[in-house]
Amino acid sequence: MVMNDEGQLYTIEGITAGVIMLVTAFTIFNSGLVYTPGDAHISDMQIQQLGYDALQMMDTPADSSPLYESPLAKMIQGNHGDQFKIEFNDYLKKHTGTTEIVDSLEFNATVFNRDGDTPHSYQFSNSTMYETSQLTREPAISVTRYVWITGRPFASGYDTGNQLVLLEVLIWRR
Amino acid sequence: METLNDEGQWIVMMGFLVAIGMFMLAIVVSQAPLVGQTTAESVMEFPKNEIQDLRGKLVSMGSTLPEISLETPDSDQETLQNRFREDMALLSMSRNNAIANYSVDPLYNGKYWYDSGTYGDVFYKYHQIDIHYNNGVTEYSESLLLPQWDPEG
Repeated sequence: MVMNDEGQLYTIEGITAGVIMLVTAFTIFNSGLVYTPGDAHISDMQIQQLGYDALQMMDTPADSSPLYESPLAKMIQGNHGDQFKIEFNDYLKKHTGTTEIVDSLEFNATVFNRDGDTPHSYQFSNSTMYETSQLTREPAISVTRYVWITGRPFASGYDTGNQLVLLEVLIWRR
Repeated sequence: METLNDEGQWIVMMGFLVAIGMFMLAIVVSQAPLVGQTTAESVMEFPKNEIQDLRGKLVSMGSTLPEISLETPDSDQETLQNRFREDMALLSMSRNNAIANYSVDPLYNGKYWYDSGTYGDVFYKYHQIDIHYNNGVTEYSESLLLPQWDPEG
């Protein structure tokens, strides 16, 4: 069988035109999509989960009977920001032992509580702020945890008695 | 077209086909970081930890809190419950951009569940706790039945 070789250039031309039209349509329909690098969100998500898990561990009481204070509640009520710093840092640094993670997370913790219809806040604890952290850092992630405490928090001027306060921790990588 | 060199057109066409194939594969590869982004974003957007936090607080405190009763009113319990509810509502609204609320033992035929003993077996009376959470993207409602905690056993 003898193949017919005629008109091959026209075939190529046709295919090229088709591809150009496809690329044009693809570009037009994709231009509505704003692209941001996926990596940033993935590490943000990991830091967020790490923070929530650390707070949950600290807010787990030793005794499971109702209304039993957790270590975190005792820290907030006694205003032991230094203890919080040590323990929270320790949880953020945890690794499996087979890998060494980059230890560069910093945090700043604030306590919010309610006074009437107004939320009040005071600075509770923060990590050692290295100089590099003041110059440049990645965006901070916010994690929160409700903490039940038996009395008013350290700062004066607030309601006494049982209450829920909101602990908000900003975590970032320097 | 007459003076055009017609040699090797098959090779040129195969070259085109390979190029098109590589272009298509490149499109597939370029979608990969996009998938990673949307997954991580939706994980962050979904307030799993906040809901678990609120729910955990109510489960651990809830069984001692209720006892709201028309027959044997306990104003301390009611005060405590209102305190927690308002703390939760205001702090969620101001810091987490979310509406969070709960109620314990709805009224039924003019009686609270607790009084009418609607939920009860030989061991416990049960409290119904309704949890509501809405941050504009995710809405969550749940009804929990908690046995009344009795320190005396």
